Amino acid sequence: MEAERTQFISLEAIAAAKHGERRHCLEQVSGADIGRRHPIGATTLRLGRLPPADIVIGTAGVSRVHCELALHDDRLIVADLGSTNGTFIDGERITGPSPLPVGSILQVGDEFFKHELLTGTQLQKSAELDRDLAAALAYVEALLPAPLSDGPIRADWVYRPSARLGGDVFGYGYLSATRFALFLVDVSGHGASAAMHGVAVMNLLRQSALPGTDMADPGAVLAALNALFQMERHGDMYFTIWYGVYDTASRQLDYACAGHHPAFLLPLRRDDALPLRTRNALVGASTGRRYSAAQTTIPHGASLYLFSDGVFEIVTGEGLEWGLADFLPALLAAPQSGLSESQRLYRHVCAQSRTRELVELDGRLDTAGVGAIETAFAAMTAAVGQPAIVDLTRVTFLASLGVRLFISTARAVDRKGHKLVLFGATPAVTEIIETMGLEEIVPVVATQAEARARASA
Amino acid sequence: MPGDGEVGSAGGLLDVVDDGSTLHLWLGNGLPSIEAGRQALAPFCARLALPPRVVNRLEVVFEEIVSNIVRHGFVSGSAQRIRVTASATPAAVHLRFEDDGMPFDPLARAVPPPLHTLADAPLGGLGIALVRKLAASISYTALAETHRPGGFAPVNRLEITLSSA
Repeated sequence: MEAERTQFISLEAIAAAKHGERRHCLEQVSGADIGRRHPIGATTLRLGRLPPADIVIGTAGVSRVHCELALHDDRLIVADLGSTNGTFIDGERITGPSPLPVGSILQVGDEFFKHELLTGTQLQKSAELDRDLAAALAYVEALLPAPLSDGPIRADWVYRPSARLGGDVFGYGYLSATRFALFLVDVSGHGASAAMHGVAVMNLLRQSALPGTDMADPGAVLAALNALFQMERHGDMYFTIWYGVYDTASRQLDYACAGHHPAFLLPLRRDDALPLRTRNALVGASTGRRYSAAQTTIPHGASLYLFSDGVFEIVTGEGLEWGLADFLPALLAAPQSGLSESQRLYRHVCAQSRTRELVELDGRLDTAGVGAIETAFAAMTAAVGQPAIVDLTRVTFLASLGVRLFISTARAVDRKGHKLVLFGATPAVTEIIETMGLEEIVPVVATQAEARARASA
Repeated sequence: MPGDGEVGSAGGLLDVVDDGSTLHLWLGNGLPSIEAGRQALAPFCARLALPPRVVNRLEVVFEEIVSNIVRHGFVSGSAQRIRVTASATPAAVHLRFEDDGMPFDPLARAVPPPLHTLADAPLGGLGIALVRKLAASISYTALAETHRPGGFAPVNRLEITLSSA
């Protein structure tokens, strides 16, 4: 299904490219599929939560069959099909078939789309990129080990890249009949290059293919990786790693950790949780390092929790930035029957996390500047269902299109029961805000602290 | 507002004539005209030693009017040019915008009421409303169609005075 649609995009794009035409296209500017483009052709398209909709958006607030898009005389017309939550163009709820001008934002449920006119070549590139990223992610996922549901060691996991592709990888497996190795690697940065680097490291470890190295010796493994992956020869990327080897006969766990936060060993009495960490330099950042390891005995029935920093480096709905200490109470909490531990913790983190609510703007909010940021701005504020705090400290110029952007996004944020608050305006920007009377309808304050107070009031 | 014309991509600064007191800018039909025009105005502002807030007002007015013209004012087939004339007296800066797009009187529309609630705030017409508030005076003239083949036959003339105090 997915592959068929991608193929469809590509063929259409090639046809369009031959004619040098520009194609109407809806680009997703929010949610998990941010950046995905849906070309609009000659036939009417239906958007909804479930097939047989042509564009399937499976997120909250989208009705089964939500709205319809069609081109009439090269104008894109949107009609709501009796959806529960309505269809919005630039923040205005539509009541009948309405034109969606190029550059405008279409909101359906919690998802935002921008109407764009693209050349066939641009469309083709974006379809290729979608396909390549999906293929790369599928490749990384194919390298991950299967959960272990029986035997002396059981394992379960959840893998969710934060962006479309990241540099976090992990693995585990038996080195011998009694020795079991496990690791988690976090490559600096995001995107395809970090993912490729992660895969290179992962492949060496899962095939136990480090030259002349005892894979059962964590300190030696980290030193060998450090020698192989010096950042100047690897695109300036380095990584953190936690690596351990457990002997099922002796119940000893040898482990070493480089720049990574600890893994946690939880015995049956969960309050006796033990952080397992050794202090070592990041792998790849400096040469000739020795890597210290440590050893501990694993009690019967104990669990080892190994996780990437993505589970605790989040911003909560209250705007608080989480650290490891904030995640620990959830980690130590009692397991839930019917739910694996990885699922329980994943749900907890999802429930707490929000996209960063502070949005910093920079530069001139003139016609060109607003055009450049409006899509991302709508996605970062209106799309996330939380208060939005906008830092204007570095905005040097504001014209009416910027004011209009603030009104339309404030309205979208307001519809979800939150506020958009502006702060830090320079004198030039303040004069325009006051001349327009914008502060009558959108809170405008001096400092970030006041903005946070107003946003949560 | 006239029907939206094509936003050309060929915008930009076509010519500058500066006689030391009056500045004439010729701009094409396209968004690049806005930034190019603003930069061409900078020496004029510097020569008059205008205070920052007056420069900001002048830039905002310039931005709004040129943006409006390139985004709405042109239809294919016209010469698609804008002439901006800037001059100053000790107390004021005068800007004149002339274009050969669709006839359009931006002042015909009633001044919108002050923003009152988020829900009923208008999203259109904000630019002209802003210019009217920043200007000390503003006037529009529809120019008679004088056919000048190869020349510039402006259709719209907007004159704006900003206090330089």
